[in-house]
Amino acid sequence: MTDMTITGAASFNEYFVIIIATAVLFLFACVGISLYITSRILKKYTDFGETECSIHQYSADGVRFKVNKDNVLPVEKEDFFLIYGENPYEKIERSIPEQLIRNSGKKDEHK
Amino acid sequence: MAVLCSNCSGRLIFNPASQKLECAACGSMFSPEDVSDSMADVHSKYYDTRVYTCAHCGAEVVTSDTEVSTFCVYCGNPAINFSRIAKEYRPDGLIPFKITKEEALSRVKSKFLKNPIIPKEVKRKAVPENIRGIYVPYWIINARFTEASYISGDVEYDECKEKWFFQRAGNCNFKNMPIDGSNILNDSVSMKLEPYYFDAAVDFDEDYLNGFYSNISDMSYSDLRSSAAFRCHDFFSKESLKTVIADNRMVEDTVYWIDIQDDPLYLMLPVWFFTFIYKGEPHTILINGQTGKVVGTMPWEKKRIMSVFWSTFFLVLAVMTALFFGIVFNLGGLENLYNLLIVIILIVASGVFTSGIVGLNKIMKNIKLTKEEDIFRFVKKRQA
Repeated sequence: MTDMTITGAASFNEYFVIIIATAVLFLFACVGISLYITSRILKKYTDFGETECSIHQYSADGVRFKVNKDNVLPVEKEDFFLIYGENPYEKIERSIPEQLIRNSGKKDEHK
Repeated sequence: MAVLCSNCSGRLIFNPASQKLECAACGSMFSPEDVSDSMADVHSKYYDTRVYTCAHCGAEVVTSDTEVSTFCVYCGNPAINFSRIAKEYRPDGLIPFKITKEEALSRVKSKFLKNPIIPKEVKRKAVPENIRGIYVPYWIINARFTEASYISGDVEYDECKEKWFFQRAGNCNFKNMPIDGSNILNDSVSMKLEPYYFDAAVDFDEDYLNGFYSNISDMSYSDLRSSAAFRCHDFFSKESLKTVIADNRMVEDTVYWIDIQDDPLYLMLPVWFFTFIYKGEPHTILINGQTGKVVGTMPWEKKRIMSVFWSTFFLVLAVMTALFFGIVFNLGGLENLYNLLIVIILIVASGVFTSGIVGLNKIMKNIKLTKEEDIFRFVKKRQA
């Protein structure tokens, strides 16, 4: 009789825990799905215009990779940036439009 | 310099529909190239403008000599003061407005007239008085770009995941890339207005500005370099990440350089600004004046959105409860099915919860851009 009572109490607790866990899971799922649907509705009806431009819009030949190595070691990072981390355009001087020069002057004055 | 009709001395306004200057008084039409400028020699390098300053956001609004500004085209605030007459450098060219004010308004209206979550107060503000055409300054650059990146990602190897590192380095040439030349307009907003088609660009002629506002480029060369480099880096990183076959790809470290080639073009590009104040906060929606693309985030009725949320919540709860009791009682004993259901719910819930949070976060960021960016820029400008 005592054994039966103990077994009964244990299984009741077990069911109780399962029911609570299931309820919490259901609530989480409901919040998740509702949030998702609400965000989709907001996106569709209030948020307009996404960036449509890819690299191909402004670059006919795209990226030309010189280095394309997979599975390198984390410690190789320093060597990699030592070799490929130099500014290739450092010594090139360019003519700057007058409007930009004037704006730079204004900024300096402001400072 | 005011441009007047040779027949009646009335004021000439550029009409995007006909692509001609039209006299408001007698209706005569003139091609902008045909209207002679008596001060052409004096104006070869500069053109006359009237500069207004917004007391609220600090933006400078430039109008032609004939136009008077009554409110800020950026934030919609009426506290705008005439500041000075200025001579500005002539841009190299412009793309004339193709979309008329009416078309711009109808494009905005088509987005929200039958839209139940946008407040009626906002819908009522979609009137011609709240839409202004403005030529926004852009720099069109040709550039060489070099980048080296260290990328990490998770790769499945012998049924377990390993973190790998990847090296990518290379270069890329960019041609005719537009960079927004106005500090007051956020780059992430102006980028959304693209694409612009530069084959429609014409040599700069201030006659095209009649009836519109314009802004002058206030960025320095270093601003242009950093904006251009950031944009190229964004394109480059996306391409680099595409070449990496792994999950959770991430650029760990990167270095990049740009070489903007000589003489970037200074162009004016057409944008319609729909500005309004809702609940005390200024909002700006932009419309590409060449293609009609609408960019921006509208405010929404909180009550409606909450009712959508709770309706979905209770509907999903009801469906899942029905499913749950159906399995537990009608198909009693099918424990595996119950377990399977729980696992499916857990996976789906986690996925949609994350997507929902990410989506909401993105929308909140966009509405913040629509509402506060000008003030933010203004504060930053004053802090500099």
